[in-house]
Amino acid sequence: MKVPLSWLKEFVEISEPLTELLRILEKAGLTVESLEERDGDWIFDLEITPNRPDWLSVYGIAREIAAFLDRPLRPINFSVTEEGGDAREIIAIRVDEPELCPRYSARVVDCVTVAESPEWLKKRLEACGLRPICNIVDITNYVLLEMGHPLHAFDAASLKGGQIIVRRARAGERLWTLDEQERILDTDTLVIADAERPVAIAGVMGGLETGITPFTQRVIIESAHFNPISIRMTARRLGMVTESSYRFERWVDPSGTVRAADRAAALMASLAGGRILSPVLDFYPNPIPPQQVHLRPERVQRLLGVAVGGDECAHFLQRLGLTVQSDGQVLQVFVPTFRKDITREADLIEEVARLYGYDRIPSHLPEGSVSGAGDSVRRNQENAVKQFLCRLGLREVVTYSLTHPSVEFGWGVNRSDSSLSLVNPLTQDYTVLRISLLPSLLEVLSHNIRMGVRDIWIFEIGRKYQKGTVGKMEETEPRLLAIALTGSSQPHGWNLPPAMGVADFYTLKGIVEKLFGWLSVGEIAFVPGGPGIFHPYRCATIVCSGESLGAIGQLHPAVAERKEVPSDIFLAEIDFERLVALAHWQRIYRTLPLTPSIRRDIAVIVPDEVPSATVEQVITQEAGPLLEESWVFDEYRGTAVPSGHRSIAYALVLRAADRTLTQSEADEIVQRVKDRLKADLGLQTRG
Amino acid sequence: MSVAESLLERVADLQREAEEALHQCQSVEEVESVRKRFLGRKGALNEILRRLSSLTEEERRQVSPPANRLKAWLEEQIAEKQQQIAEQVRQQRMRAEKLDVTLPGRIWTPGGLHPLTLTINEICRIFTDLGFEVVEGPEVEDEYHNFIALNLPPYHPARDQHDSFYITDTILLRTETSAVQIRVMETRRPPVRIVSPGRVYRRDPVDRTHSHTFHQVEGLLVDDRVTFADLKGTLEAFVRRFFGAQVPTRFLPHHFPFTEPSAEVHIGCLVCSGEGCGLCKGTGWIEVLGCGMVHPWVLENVGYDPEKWQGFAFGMGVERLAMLRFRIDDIRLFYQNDLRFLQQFD
Repeated sequence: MKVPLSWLKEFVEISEPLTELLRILEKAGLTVESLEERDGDWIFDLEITPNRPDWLSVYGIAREIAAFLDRPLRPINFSVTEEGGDAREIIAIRVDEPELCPRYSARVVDCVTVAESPEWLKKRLEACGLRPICNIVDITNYVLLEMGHPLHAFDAASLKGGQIIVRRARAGERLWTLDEQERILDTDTLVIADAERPVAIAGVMGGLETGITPFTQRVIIESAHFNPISIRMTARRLGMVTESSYRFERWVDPSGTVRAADRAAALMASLAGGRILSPVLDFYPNPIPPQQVHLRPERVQRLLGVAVGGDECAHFLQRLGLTVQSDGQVLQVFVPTFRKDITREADLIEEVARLYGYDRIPSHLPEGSVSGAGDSVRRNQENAVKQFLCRLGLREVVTYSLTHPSVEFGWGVNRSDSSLSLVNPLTQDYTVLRISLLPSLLEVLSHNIRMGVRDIWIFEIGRKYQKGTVGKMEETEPRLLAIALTGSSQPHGWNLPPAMGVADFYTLKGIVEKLFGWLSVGEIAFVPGGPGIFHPYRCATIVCSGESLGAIGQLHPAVAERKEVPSDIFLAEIDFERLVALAHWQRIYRTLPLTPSIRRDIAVIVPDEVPSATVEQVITQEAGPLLEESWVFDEYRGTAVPSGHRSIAYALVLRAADRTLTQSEADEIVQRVKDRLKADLGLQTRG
Repeated sequence: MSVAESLLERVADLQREAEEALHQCQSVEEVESVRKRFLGRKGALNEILRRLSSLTEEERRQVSPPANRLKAWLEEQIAEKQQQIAEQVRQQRMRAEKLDVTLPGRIWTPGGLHPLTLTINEICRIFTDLGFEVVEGPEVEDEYHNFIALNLPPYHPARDQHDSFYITDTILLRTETSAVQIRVMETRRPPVRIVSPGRVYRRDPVDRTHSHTFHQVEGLLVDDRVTFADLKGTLEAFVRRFFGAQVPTRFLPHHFPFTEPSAEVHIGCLVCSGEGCGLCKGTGWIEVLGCGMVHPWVLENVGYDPEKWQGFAFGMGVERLAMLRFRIDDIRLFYQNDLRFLQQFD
């Protein structure tokens, strides 16, 4: 809301320098969004919070400044001289919906001459961001700015039947509004009508046919108090926010309607030669009384942490225009109807705090403590996994949960699964909540590749969203862990072995195995096959005790083509909730062996169709309890190996806990393993 | 010449010969063969010592000490020579091992956390140090927890600032994490001392300073005696730790439907320290968070008696704090995940 300093000075003496005035406005809670110098005047643009509709006027701001400076607030000076005929003969007012229109006041001004407004008036409107139109309309706008009362001026001659009826619109009724649009109305819309038709959308905008024209001679000034919710609903429905609806939906002082109409009438008399008819018309069957709220000074101290005496509290509240009676212990406060935000004690305490000064309230640290203090187990586990993945060279990304329906499905997603979708999306890019993180990670890869970044090792831990009971977060918003790799995690290395240089399926599998191992999840298997986003022959489902926990694989070449990204992208998606549920976080010390171990290597010629896991299984079984650990250290294809086969080399570490294993014992175990590989799988060993 | 005399002469000769032989040695192996030649089982010195048995007591006393001295001396000389050669060999090997020390170092570089995670973790850390508990909640919320219980009834003008994405007529994406506070208070008795980090959503078009998705950390403390002074002390402590001990704080009145009295917290501009610049729009101050004493309506909504219990609440935007701290001028960078951006915060 724009407020000229010169206008404020009409109502309160301000001798303070500008910087001091700015400080006072801030202390009151009026945020100065900008300050502009214009024709030797200062124009403040103030942010008005929705609880203070009384600040949506110059007089309201002046009242606040007067309270903070502890100076008198001057009344708006004008007088109404009634002359000419009887207003009741010109127009009759009927309110059919007193719930939606508790008060409707009107003035009739006759014999006006519609013309341009005087310069001073036009300047003020322009300073406040309004366009001058003609004296009658400008006067209604002037009073709107000055007193915060939206007024409407009808051309009396255009109203049929000498009637103003405040009623609900009939379904399908139409009205051309002042912005030259035809509005189709419904029964939830409150309208001002004459004997035949709607002539204005109550509190929002007037009608085109009944507005002021250059030939208007007799004006009816409407000054009303409408139900805020009704006006807000109407404005929303019609997609219109006007100076008028903005104020009505926040609250316009019901006690001030007559005075605002009088103020406009007086200005029309002096600026447009009008004659004010008697009497003022006023429908107000159930006047809204001032709120009565009590204030206990000891509550002020208990809430603010500083003692403010009863007399001081009373003085603060009186400065704001409230009436205070004291019975010693408790203050009885009568709140005028322009302050509808004050309804209970806490509201009065805020007023005391503002005038006392937030800066004068001391600082103190709260006493007491709670047993659950600290970060949550849930977040601690999530952070631990994030840190672990970072140590492995991966970088965390954070992507939007809002996305577009995608054909690329990650782990655990079926084509028939539907995402939660928005009923009011803003753009086509964001219409649903994600059910997989993989499409978002692909977007990140795609962006980086476009930017020339080719080595990308990333992960995200984030929620997916599914239907269920609202509030059951673990059920409806389970977390997923997704990983994407392409290129090297160490782009600045040199002479790196090729297998470490560029990510492949096994790099990703290694990361997943390392993570599962670190979490002590238990035995996991990689079963060939996985969801459709993967290369069908280069993917696997991660299985733990018969339960599928996720999937890993290379990006499907068709998806890579469609997304215009390279195909050497490797992805994993894992059910993070299950992962942490199966994890064992506690570390338990195992005694260190006292006896030496013996290492033996076995190279096996394995046909392509026999998985290494099968070979390893036989080795483990046959070697028995003396096998401490085993691993693959080489896969070789070449001249020494028949085609369609590879040589896989396994390292075996053998150890007896209670004695030193002899070389001949080790040889014997290796021989047994070799025999068994031949007998069970028909495999030859080398060397 | 007696046997003894010839043996003594032989000892003297041997010493000269050994000296000469050792001098010629170039390798550890050559020293070893010298050792064998003179000190070995069939070596020259043993030869002499063997012959001592054929001598008289008198002669033995003449010959034995010089022969033993020679043995000791030889052992010492050989050890010294061996060491000398080993040192030469080592020097040679090291020369061959010369490195170009100007080649870059080789290190396994770990990845890093996203700046939003770093910021959330730091905020949570400060509040857990101040005795708060971290609680999370659902992002898909109902109107009751997101609005109504927080004193934002339907058609309240304050909802203008909370334009929201709806899933159904009454289910929406939460617009603030305060909804978590309601859920916690519904299930617990005071004292409550929590912060809740998480994603929130507003129906705003995306530009440099707006995003339909952002993160918040909101806090709540309900107890029987907690005051506005405690609120000031807590948030001043937060600002000092997050932005630095020298950064000043001020509290200005504001409005939030769920707090009364309400305040906005401003900090001294981080760029100009109060002189006035583009970041603070010339005011010297930057708004960083909103707060206030929990509105009695909100306490009543969760079944707390406002005569008995009172508290404060606060909320801050994670992106905003991260942008201020790292001087980031475009909120979209957080969600673009350009690696060249992300690695600046390791």
